[in-house]
Amino acid sequence: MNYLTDKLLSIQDLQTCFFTSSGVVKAVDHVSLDIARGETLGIVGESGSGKTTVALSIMRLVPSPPGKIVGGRIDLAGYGNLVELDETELRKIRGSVIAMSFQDPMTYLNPVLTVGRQVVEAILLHNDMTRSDATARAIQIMRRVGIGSPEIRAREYPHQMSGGMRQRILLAMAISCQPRLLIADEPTTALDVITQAGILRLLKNLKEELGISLLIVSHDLGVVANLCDRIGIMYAGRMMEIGNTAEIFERSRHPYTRALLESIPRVDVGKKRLAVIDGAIPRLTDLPNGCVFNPRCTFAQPECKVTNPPLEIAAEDHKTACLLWKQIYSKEEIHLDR
Amino acid sequence: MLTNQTAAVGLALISAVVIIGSLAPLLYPQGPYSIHLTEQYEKPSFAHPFGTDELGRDVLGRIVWAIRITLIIGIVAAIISAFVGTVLGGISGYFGGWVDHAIMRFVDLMLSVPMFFLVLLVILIFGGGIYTVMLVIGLTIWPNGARLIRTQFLSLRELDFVKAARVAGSSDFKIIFKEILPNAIFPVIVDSSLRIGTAILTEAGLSFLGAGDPSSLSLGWMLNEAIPTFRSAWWTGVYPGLILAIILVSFNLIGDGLNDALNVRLTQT
Amino acid sequence: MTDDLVRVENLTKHFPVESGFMARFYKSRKIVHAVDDVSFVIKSKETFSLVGETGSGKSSVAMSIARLQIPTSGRIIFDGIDINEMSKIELKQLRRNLQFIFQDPYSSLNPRKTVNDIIGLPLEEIGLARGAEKKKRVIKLLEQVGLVPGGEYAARYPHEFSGGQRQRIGIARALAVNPKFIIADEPVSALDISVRSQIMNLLQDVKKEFGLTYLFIAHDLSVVRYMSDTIAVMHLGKVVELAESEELFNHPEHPYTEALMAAVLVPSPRASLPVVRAHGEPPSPVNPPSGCRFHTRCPYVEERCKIEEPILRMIRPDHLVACHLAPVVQLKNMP
Repeated sequence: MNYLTDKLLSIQDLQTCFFTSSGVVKAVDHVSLDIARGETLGIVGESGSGKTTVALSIMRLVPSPPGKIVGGRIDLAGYGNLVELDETELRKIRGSVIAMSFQDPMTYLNPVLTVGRQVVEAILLHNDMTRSDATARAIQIMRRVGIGSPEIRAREYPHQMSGGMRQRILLAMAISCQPRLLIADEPTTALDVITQAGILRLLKNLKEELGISLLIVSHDLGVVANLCDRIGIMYAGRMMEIGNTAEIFERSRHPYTRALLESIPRVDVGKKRLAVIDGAIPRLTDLPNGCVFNPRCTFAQPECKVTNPPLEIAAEDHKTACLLWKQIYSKEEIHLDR
Repeated sequence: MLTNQTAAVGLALISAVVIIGSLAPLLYPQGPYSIHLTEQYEKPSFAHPFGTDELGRDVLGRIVWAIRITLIIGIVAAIISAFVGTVLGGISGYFGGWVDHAIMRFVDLMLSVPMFFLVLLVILIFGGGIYTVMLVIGLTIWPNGARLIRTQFLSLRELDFVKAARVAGSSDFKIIFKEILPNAIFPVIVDSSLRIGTAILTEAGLSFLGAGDPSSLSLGWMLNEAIPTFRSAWWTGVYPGLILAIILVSFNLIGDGLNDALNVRLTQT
Repeated sequence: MTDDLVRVENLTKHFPVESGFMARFYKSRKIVHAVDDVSFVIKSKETFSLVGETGSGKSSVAMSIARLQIPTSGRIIFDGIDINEMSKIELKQLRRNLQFIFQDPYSSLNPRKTVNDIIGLPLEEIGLARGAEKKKRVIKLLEQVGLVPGGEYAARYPHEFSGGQRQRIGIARALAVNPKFIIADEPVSALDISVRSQIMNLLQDVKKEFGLTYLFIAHDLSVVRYMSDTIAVMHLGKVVELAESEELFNHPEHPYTEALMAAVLVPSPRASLPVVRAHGEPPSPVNPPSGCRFHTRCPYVEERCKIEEPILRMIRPDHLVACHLAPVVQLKNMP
């Protein structure tokens, strides 16, 4: 049964756990989200939020052991529930329907093969072509992702290229088979500012030219603000708030999101004292009861320490997981954008 | 560490051996040299579980005493080698430059010479007292440990807490011993346990060839004395050799187990 | 000037690419030009920031000032005395006045030492306190950086603390000997976002309380704007622009500064996507381009830029730029 309408991917109640010697880590705890065709969704979170595990769960690349998807569905239009598919079927999907690029390209590129060869191999994996056709296509794609003189650069090895170039190669490999969904895990982290801007522009162009859906996983609110139609904020394995980007940035209904937005220094604003979020991210083996954010929340009430808030509709295309959102934010009409 | 099965088995074995060795005065108060010429070359029996040798001495009794010598020599030599290896490896890894080069070339030199023959040569020149043996073995088996420590120091010295100590005003030697060494100690321990095995084997070899200390009975010496009667009175050689093998295997198991634990640690940091 | 705390004059740091004994003899030995002829002044009680991307040399400058590296050439004058010419006693005094906060909270604390020993080390080395007196001071410092009750934390080991807490411990260590000057090398880059503002505010508070001067190394312009009084922008070993903070953000003159600012991400959906104002790839510091080192990527490049290296010169009071086109660029930007 397919519940999807114009939705490409629908995750419902996903639970992914890691079984470690120090206990069970609920890396993804009852997370639901949808990605429509042609839409760009961003998942924002700090370390331990579970955002990368969500991406890996979609790709069914969660290292297992010790990880395992223990519950929920991941429905991909036309292919059913990814959680139930076996390896042979998944291999047909990975790279060709859903593709992924990673944060540290150096770890994912083969150091002893030229980059050109690696893009060609990616193409040949899902396409029945001759090697020379695949090579021509590889050059084309490399040019598409902004690599100048691709015929020459194709002969270089990963270590000879800059960080930005390597990220572009990973993206080239990812789009080489025209996927319908591209997952970019921290595409700009570890890159210099100017190079980052280049990659973001590239992602925007790819999105517009190819009409693909994008899932951007990042800890940087600036990245998702600029690029995504909708965003989800994750913390310690749970989804705190999800909805339209402008709606969330300007009318957030979750204390965590608000606190985060108020604590980030902005280059377009002067030296107004930054708000502070007390405490630290909890260890995933030792999560607080009730709402995961409650120990650090200035609005926490006794019920927050007991009940895990479900995602509730707060406005159109805006859901929040906070028991008290109505009380805290009902009287407001403020715009967070200063 | 103790959950590691390899190390646990090794530890169990060596504990058994150590206990037996330490109980020697109780088990065989007559000492390893008590001669009973009437009982020469008796086969293993209830009275003498491992038989007797050419002078009627109980083989098991001698083994129990010999264990002490073998272990002491091995452990002391390993400690000496750990000390030398750590100091040289630490200085080499920390200072780098020509000091590192010089020490490493020396290490290469030591490693290129067949260790055993070097030890043999030195013993033959200077005589084979038990202390000489321990010292000489200790001074020849350190190169591997030095390399290990050097590698540890090379990576540890780049860490920020070392820079912080320098900014605080700590001298180089204080940094080596108080900042870096405590973090490099685990590989030292791993290496040392493997070195004990090497030391014991070297001493056994020396004694077997007759170059060891005749006045201290080690398992190797027992093998030496068993040479004439290897075929006929096999128990005089087989049993000491077996116990020696058990000791070596147990130290290797401990070292391997610790090594595994070390690798887990290193990949986790 | 008497209120110059640190003067950096013609600082240069080169590294050979191939290390090793025999490498000395290779004629074609490649050299990394980490820092080339950098000069600037840090005034007492100000926060001076060095901004740049990887390869800019900002960390090398910090290391050279802190004497964690010996510069290839140049002078560093601290409180009126040239560091190279300091006597042993004066160097000890220097250690008392100059401290460092490191970027990585996970490698800047010795995992085998207690917090008490970590923070107390400078106290011991300078000879200010030992034993019980040391512990007393450490507890006070812990509380000053927000780790209360200090007594409880002093006996613990680093692995028991979160990243933000470790950074606080690092700050406490830097404050232990009551220095005049602290170099903070990317103190918040390695921290989670929800924790960064805690540390930034702490640094501001502590600066006021202890009357400190900061040299702040960073690559994130948003953080830099929040923290700095004066900013020097570095590119490939050279200072390309130096100005008071607000002046720099309101009137950037160097094309590289302009490119950096155009690329900064603003966390707001209304902000436009960052623009790329520098084409190509960052050159390697091993073979820096001739002339102006930014010329291969500069949108305004002219012939002169490829041949002649621009000098850092004043175009407005308290605003220096190293660009041949600066006066011209200034004209273009005028409303």
